Amino acid sequence: MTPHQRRLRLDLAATRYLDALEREDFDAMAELWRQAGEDHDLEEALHELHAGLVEERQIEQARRDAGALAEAVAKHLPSAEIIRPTTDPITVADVAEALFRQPPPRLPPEAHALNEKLRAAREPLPEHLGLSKLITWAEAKFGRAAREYWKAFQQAAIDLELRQASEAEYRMAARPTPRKEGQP
Amino acid sequence: MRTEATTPGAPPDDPVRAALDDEQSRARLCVQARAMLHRLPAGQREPLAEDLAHEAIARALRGRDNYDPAKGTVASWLGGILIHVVRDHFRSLSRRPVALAPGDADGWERLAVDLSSADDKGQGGFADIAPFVARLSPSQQELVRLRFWEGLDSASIAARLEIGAIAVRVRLSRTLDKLRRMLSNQTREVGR
Repeated sequence: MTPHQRRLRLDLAATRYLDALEREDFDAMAELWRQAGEDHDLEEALHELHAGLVEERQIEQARRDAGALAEAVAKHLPSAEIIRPTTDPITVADVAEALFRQPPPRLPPEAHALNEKLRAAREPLPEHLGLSKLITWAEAKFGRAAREYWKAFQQAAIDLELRQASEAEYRMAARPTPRKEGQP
Repeated sequence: MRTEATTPGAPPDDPVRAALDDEQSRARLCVQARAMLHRLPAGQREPLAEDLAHEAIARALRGRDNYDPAKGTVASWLGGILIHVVRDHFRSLSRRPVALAPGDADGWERLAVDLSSADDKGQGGFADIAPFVARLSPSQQELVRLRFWEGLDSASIAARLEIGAIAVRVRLSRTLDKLRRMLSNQTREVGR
């Protein structure tokens, strides 16, 4: 068995375990624990899964608590302004900035020049575009570039989106709104 | 068979006691119990998870003569005991599993075959599974790409996505389960 095959086997076993856990299929869970008794990596994968699930629920709970708190503040403290971190859409400039900081190798000079221009483009990125559609959209707006550049651009956009998604715990603060003129 | 580190002070011939003296082993049992009680609200889940983990520890101590090192590690034996404890608890409440196991051997089989093929042949091997991967969310597609196309391990994926390694495990399992359901549905539709 190659290392890749072994990892695939572990991934599948962990997935089966998650499925059994969510369906409360105790026989299937017990069988996987029996297998884990002879396979240290599987045992670790199951522990990881438990820890990940608990962490996931803690984040969900924190979100719910924050939502309830925000609702209570809005209801009972109308003079307070709730500040939430922005979840602005990713812009072309955000992606270009990421590429500027970590430029992909072997890009032609024209691509670097275009990227420099895009660092000032505050336009939101359209969601879920495939590479061809992204190229069509972007070249119509910003000009042509090598396909490699747009591939790297798309990759950087996905990385940014994932990073934004993983910032699950939103911080929240309440503070008094500045009094409007003329108010006591 | 693997041997496990014994805790200083624990009897050398009693691996169960040694494991139960180990704080990490006990903490892992509590985490497993919390994960298994996922349907309960947090207020009920936390204290019950503690109780059931303690019950599992008590059962393990009472039945430690039954532990057979030839059949696996103490940790896996304890994990198995906790599963029985949680099942007994649900039975005492006359609670039935939410969804009985549908089997779905076809879906699992197809998922294993398609991903092995992708793994063996690289990007070209994705042909069979590509239409299903395309229906995943962008972040799930990225996960599949990093794992099965680029062949990265969990730590590298975690670093690339700037998330924890344990989050990678859960997200990967959810993604593969979603793929498995899609494959299974398609097999059923074709069979009609």
